[in-house]
Amino acid sequence: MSKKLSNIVKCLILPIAVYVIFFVFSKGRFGSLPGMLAIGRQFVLYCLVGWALMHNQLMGVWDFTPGAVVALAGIIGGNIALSTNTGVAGLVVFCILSAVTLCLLTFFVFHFLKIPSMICGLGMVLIYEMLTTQLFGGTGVKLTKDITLLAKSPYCYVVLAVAGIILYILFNFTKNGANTRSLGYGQDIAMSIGVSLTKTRLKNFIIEGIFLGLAAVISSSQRGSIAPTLNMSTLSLGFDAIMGVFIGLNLVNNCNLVVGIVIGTFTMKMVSAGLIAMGLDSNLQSVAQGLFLLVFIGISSNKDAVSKYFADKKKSAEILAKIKA
Amino acid sequence: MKTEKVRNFLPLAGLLIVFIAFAVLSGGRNLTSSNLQSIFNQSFFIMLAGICATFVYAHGGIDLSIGGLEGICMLIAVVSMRNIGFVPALILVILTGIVSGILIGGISVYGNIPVFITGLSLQYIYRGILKVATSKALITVPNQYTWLDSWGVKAVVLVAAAAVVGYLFKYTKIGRYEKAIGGNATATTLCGVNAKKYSVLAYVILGIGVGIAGLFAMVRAGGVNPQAGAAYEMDVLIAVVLGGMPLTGGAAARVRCGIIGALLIVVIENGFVLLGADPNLVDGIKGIIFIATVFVTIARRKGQVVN
Amino acid sequence: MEKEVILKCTKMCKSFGPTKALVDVDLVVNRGEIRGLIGENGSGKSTISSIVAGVLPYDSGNIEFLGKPHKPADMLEAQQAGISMVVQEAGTIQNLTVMANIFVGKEERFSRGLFLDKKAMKKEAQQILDEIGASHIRADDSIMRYNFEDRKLVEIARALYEKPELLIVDETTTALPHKGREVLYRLMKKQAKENRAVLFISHDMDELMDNCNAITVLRDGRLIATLNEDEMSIPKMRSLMIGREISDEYYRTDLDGSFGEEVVLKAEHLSAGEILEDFSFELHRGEILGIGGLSDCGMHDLGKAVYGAVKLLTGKVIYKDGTEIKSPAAAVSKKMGYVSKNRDIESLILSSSITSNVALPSLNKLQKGVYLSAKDEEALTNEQIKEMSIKCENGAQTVDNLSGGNKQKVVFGKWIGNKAEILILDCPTRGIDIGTKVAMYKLMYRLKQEGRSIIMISEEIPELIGMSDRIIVIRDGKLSGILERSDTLNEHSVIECML
Repeated sequence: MSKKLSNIVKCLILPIAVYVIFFVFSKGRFGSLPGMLAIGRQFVLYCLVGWALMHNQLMGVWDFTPGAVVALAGIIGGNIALSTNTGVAGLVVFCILSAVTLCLLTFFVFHFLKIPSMICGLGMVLIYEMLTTQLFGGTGVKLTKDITLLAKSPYCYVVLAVAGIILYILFNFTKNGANTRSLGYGQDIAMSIGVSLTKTRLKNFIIEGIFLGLAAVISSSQRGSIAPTLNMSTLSLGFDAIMGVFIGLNLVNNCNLVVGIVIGTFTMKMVSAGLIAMGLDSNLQSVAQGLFLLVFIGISSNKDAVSKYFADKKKSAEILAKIKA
Repeated sequence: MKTEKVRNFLPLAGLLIVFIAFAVLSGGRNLTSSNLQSIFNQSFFIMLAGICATFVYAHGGIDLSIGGLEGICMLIAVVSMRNIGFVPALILVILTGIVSGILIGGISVYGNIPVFITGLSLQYIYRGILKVATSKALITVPNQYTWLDSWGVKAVVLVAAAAVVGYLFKYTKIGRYEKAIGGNATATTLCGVNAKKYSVLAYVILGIGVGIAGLFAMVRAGGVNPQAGAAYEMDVLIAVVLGGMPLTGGAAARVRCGIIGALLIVVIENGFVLLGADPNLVDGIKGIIFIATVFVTIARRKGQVVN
Repeated sequence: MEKEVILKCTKMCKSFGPTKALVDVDLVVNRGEIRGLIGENGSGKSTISSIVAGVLPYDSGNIEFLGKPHKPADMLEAQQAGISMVVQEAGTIQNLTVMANIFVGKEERFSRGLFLDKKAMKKEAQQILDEIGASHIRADDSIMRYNFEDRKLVEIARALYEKPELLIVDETTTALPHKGREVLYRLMKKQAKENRAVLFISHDMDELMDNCNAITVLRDGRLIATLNEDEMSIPKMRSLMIGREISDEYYRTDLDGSFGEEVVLKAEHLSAGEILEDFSFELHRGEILGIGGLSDCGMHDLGKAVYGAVKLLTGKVIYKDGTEIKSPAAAVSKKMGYVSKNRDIESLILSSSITSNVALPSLNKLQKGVYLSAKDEEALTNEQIKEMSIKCENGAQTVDNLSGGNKQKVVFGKWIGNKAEILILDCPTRGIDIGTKVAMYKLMYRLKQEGRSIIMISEEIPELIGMSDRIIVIRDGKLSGILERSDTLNEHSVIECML
């Protein structure tokens, strides 16, 4: 089997296996065409968020704010678009501008105040969530039908495809993408050579803002409105999306990260839908999420250690044989 | 060093200044006995967890699951107290706390998973269980237990917790070990300390504190609901940081960080509400104060890259 | 031929906190030269090369390169000016391709509009690899497919791509096997023939004699002398490096390499880490056992293995009462102590006080029941401050700001405070001033006379010869020779076992 083919197989094993398992265990309730289309619409949102987080995550920068940014950018962008009567285009432009501004704020606090990204994220979520209750009268945003065009298929898939192509180019064919990889895989060496951490981080937060802006468009259009949120309930969006990123990171030897995130996110959405089709109480969804995250990170954090364990055992046996001789 | 002085004096000074400021601004309304009781009651839960969290923060750890844990303990407490009695309830919540501590500590330390992630994952799991359990009906506590909600009982609990934790921290090797692990885990291990074991122990102590807090929270709330314990971990985190606890742990960790910080955060919240501020603003203000405090107090080496 | 100056450093000064790494160094390098740079650890040779290559900034002084002022902000700027450096440690980035590694930070050379031309990148990368004689390395392969030696070649390609006027080789040969070294020698000679220059830093005096046409000797941050071709010799280098005859009262003066009969620690068939294999030895009461070899021979792993700090692939470490040492906790309970070669990272908690550091291993003992008194901690620490002459205000001072020598005294203090009977020392005098070194050697001798046992792992052969009762030499992870203390023991016999 050629290398390309074996890589493709390795990438698709996970989603195919998940599909089959849930199809069987839900006695066919999962896996029908309308069901898959419903998954598809959900998947668009989470994939955009996963893509938004991609560059930063690769550089070891955690961001817990996507959910809050999507909500707040949707509220700001939606309200401005409605009041300026600029329709769908306006929604897109203003959501992206808002999201980029918010991400730049997060970047500033993180990079220049030198606050660890996880901590910074928690603090910024509190601030952004508070803003959703204060701006525009604290009622969030209610979108009119005409402006929610992009939520419908096939438009949402067009958005996804365009965004995906842009991201693919940004990540694989620009200097910033190369710098992100250099810093991500060898920060000390890259920095001593002279790669600029500040510039790369700045660009990555801007990229995150653009994609979160798109996600805000999709999210607000799909639900028709966004309500103010509190109590860190927005954390779950980023959490869900990051799972797709982790799966993508694990597939990085077999396919490009951009594609890997698509596979990962779709797989996770199938898992959610599959569990419901199997009759799982929707409240237990979060239990499944938590378990899945633990298991997944547990495996990926430890797989090197495990293979080392077996390699060491083999080496020990070899040396012992030599000693006996 | 400048950071040391800030850490030692600022929190307590800050507490006094803020309290006096609100006294002036609100025309003395924050000094009424009912308001003071309110401050005490609100800070009790954060203080108890903040005190018990000292070992965790001292070794540079963090527990993001305690909100869900509190909810679960509230559930266990109310079910036990309805059916078996107070003492078994107390024992059960303590056991739950211990188990939770072993889970988060054990999985993170022995499973090589960043404790942030383990905490968030467990939080999701606990919340899910809680939601399912409370979705059937609202469970309430029988009236005979309202004596537990008095400030006298709670004061005793706090003093006892502070005494026990304070003693363990200052007069036994446990406190020294936790601070050493926070300062340099590798060097500490090479000195013969079982860093993994002591890390787990820290989470167990915190778990016990949260369990007990959960029991009292349940009595105060009158029962348990799906939102029980929401944002608890953030409140405790912000409190200890405001109280001067260094995020990476180490030599500057103190038990008093939880105590002063809890009062500080509650006084701030209480003050804003008294002045008529939109309650929704409060969280955002907490976020700003949190980031500002971390910025001022985080120990940085020159040229160090922060991720 | 007229000597044309290519690099001129005037009164270079650089300090790291209290440590003066360079003091008024005037270094001149000419075109066509392969200039060797030699000095002990801490002499400043890596510091000056790092400064010239743009890795470190300097405190004061002047650098002129190609006649122009030279003050690079980073390696990229230095490369643009015409200076490239290859180092000893790994300098390639994991998970990237070979070509990505070669062009880190310089990708815009290949940009067409907004995008990168990967085809052109691959072509250029393969070209430079072929030029340096590394055609077996493919430009579009992942770097993960290649071993350390090949990755070094990729780094060399990265350095030579710019056709630097000055190439700095900073101890790169130390870690390279024979083939890699040959490649590097050939490239250096080519550099010199093309009327450019090389600054070649190495510990290996034979290598320097073979390849250089001038050698500069540094000692304690100062430039002592530059020997030109007819003046260069190994004895001359050595005496300039150390500043006095080796047989000085630096180390022990006695030649009595005797020790007790009792075996206090026994290592049987130890294998650990990447290299160490089937290693056995015995440590006796009152013995200073030196362990030497080339940097990567496995001796540092051995130190950790004997202390229980590293997983053993085979074998065991047995204390005199029969217990196996399987963890640092077990080792400490049997009164063992470990002084790491990475002092700041593994031996000290920099942000804590001297007292916290010194008392840490002894807390178990100091705690009576459930009560641990701070006074007991302070008493133990004060005793050590006195014994070891640690220069500080008091035990509450943080370790962070102490000098290297004082920090090492704190490390020793913590083990002696715990009444350690067996000490494992790894490069114990690295980065320490002469005064403290002498004090350390005196201390080691005193410990020996008190009947304690010391394993001293060291990369400095004079130190091994000067202090050990026996020297075990490791080569490629296996025991290569055991040498006994005597007045005929010299560096050559040790080096023979090492190579």
